Amino acid sequence: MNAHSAKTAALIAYDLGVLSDAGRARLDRHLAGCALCTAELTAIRAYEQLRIEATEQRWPEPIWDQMELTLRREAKAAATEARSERAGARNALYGGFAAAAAVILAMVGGSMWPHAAPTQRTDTAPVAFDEGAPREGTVTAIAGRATGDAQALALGDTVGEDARLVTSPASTTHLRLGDGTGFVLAADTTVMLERSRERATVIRLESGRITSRVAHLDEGARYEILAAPYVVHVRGTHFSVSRQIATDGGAAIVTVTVHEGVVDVTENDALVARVEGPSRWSAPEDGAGLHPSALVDPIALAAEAADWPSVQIPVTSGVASIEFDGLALPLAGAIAMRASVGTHAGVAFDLRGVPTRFRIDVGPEGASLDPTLMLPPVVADDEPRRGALDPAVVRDVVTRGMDGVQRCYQTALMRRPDLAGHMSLRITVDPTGHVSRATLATSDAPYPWLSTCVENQAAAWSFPAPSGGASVSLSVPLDFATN
Amino acid sequence: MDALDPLIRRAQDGDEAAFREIFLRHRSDVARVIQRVMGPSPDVDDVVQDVFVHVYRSLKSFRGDSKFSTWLYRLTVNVTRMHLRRGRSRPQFSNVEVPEAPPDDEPLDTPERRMECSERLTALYRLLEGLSEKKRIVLVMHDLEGRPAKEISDLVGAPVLTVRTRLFYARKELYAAIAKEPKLSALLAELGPDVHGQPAIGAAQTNGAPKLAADRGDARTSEPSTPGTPISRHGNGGAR
Repeated sequence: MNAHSAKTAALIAYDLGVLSDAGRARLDRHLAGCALCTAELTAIRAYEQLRIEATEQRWPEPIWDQMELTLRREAKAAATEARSERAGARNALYGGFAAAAAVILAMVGGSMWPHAAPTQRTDTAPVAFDEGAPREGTVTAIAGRATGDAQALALGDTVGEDARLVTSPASTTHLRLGDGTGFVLAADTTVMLERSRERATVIRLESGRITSRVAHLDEGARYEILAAPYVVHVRGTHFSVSRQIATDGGAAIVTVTVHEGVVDVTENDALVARVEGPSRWSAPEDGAGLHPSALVDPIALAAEAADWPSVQIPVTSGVASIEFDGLALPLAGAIAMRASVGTHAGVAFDLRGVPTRFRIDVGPEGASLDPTLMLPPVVADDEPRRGALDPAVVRDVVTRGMDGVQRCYQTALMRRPDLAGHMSLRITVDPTGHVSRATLATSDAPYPWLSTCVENQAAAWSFPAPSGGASVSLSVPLDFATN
Repeated sequence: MDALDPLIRRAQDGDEAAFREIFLRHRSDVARVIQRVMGPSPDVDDVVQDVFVHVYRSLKSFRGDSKFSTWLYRLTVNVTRMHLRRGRSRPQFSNVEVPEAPPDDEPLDTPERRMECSERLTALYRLLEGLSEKKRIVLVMHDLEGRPAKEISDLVGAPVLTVRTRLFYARKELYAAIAKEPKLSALLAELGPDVHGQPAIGAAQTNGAPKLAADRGDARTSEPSTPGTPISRHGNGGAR
C-alpha cells in the first residue's frame, strides 16, 4: 500500500488561489476524497492566522531596572578592560587564551581523597611550571561575621596558604587575590586556602558556596576548587561552586554554576563534566543551583581598587539587606567594604522588602553611612499641607497609571504565580506637579521587585500643579490579586 | 564592510555611557526575538541579560565585518539556543498566561476574543517547543520576525538552502501538530474545509488582520518574492 503524504506546496498554492483553473479543479477532486490533505489545508490556514496573531502580540516589558544593575557592572568591567588594552597595559600573552579553552592542569589522587593535597598527574608528560611566590588574599568586603583561622576577619585583613575561612549565617565575605581575581564566600561557608601562589590557587570547599572571578590564566597556571569528591578546574571565568553536606550521611551535593567561560569537573582523574557558561551542573543531578546570572562578582578586583577607602554600614534595626555598588549584601551584621571615592547610590530593604534609596559620599578617608538614610522618611501627620489637588484629577492620573502598575504585576506573576497582596503607595507631588517621591508605606506582597517597579511607575506620573503652590502628599491603596 | 557606528567605537574605547546606550537602543528588539523563540517563559529576562553581558564582553571583537544588528542577533540566537539546549528555559505553559494587549485601534476588543487569542498563542508556542531548536529558530526568525533567509543564514551560520529546507520542514511539522492540537480545534473548525477552490484565508479575519498573502509573509521581509512563484505564502523560504 502506498502511503500518501500531503502535498504541502500545492495546498498552499491552492489556498492562495494562484493555481490554474485546471489545477484547482484537480486538487478539488483530490481534496474531496483525501482527509489528510484537507486537514493539512486547514492547518495551513490556521498557521497563517496564528502567525498574524503572534506577530501582533505584545509582550510584557522585561524588568529593565533589575538587569541594569548587573549590566552596569559589566559595562564598567568591559570599559576598564578596553581602556587598559588601549593603553597597552594588558599582557598580550594573556589575551591569547580564551576563557573557553579550559584544560585540566592538575588532578587529585582519588584514593587519597579528601585528605590529599593536589599532586601533579603522572600518566602524562608533566607540565613544568613555576607556581610563583605566595600571594595573600585581602578582604575587600565583609557583611556580618567571618573568621580566618578562628580569628574574626576585618576589612583589609590578609590571609595566606592554609588559612581556614568560615562565614556565619547571613554573612558574606569578599576576598581579592590579585588583579581581576577574587572570590565571594556565601553565608555558612567553610573553605581552606590550600594553595595561594601567584600562578596556583587551590581552595578546598568544605561546605557552603564560593563564587569566583578568575582573570585569564597563562599556560601552566591553575585555579581549582576542591569540592569532594570533585575538582573544578578553571581558566579565566566567573563561576560558583557549592557543596551541601547531606544530613543523612549520604553523598554531598556539589553544584557548579558557570556564568562565563568553561570549567572542567573531574573525579578520580576522570572528566565528569565540562560546564560551559551560562549553565549549571550538579551531582546528584537534583542539586539546586543558582541561575548563572545570579552570581555575584567579588568587589574591588581591579588593581586600582586595592587602595579604595572603606565604607562602613552599621547594623540598622528594620533594615534586612542593602544593595550598594551593584552588590546585594545582608545586613545581619555590620558591613565594611571598599568603594571608590565619589557619590554612591544604594538601596536599603526592610524586612518586607520595601526599598529606601540612599546616597553616600565616599571621600579619601572613607565613609560611614548614617543609619537614618536607610529608613523611610517619617511623615508627620500634622505637617501643614497647603497644596491641594482635585480628587477627580488625582483619580484620573492614577487610573491612567494603572496600566503600568498592571504590567509590573503581570510580569511579577510570571515569576511568582501566586503573588497577591495589598500595598499602600505614598506619593509626594511637588509644586510643579511632578512626583518628587513615591514610596510604599505598607506592603504585604512579598516580592521586592514588584514594589520597586510600582514605585518607579508612580514616580513617572504627572499631575497638574497643585493649587497653593506647595507639595501635596497622597496615599494610593493598591490591591493585587489574580482572577 | 560597514563603517563602524561611532557609538560602537565609543564602547570599544571604554565609554561606559556608550554601553548603556547600546543596551537602551537594542534591548526591546533583543527581548522580542528571545520572547518569540522561547515563548512565554519566566527566564526571558535572564536570557536578555545574558545577551547583553555577552555583548559587553565580546564587543571588542566586533570589527564591522557585518552590520552590528546582524552580529547582535547572531549572539542573541546563540545565547537563546544555549538556554534552550540545556532545557533550563522550557516555557511553563501550564502556569503562564500569554500576556497580550491588543492595539487600541484593533477590534480585538472583547475579553472573550482576547482570551481565545491568548489560548491559541499559548498552544502555538507549545507546538513550537516541539520543533527542533534549529527549525524553531529559523521559523521564528522568518515567519514571526520577518527576516529574510539570507540574513537568517548569517545568523545561524548555515547555507541559505539549509535555512530554506529547515523552514519548509518546520512548517510542515507545525501543520501536522496544529491539525492535532485540541486547543486549536475551534480555529480549525472555523477555517474548516473549504475545498471548492476559493481561498479561505478571509474566514478567520474577523479581527481585521491583513488577509492578502503579500501582506502576510513577504511584506514583512525585505526578501523579494519571485515573480510568478506560487509558493510565496510565508515568504520565499519554502523548499520545493
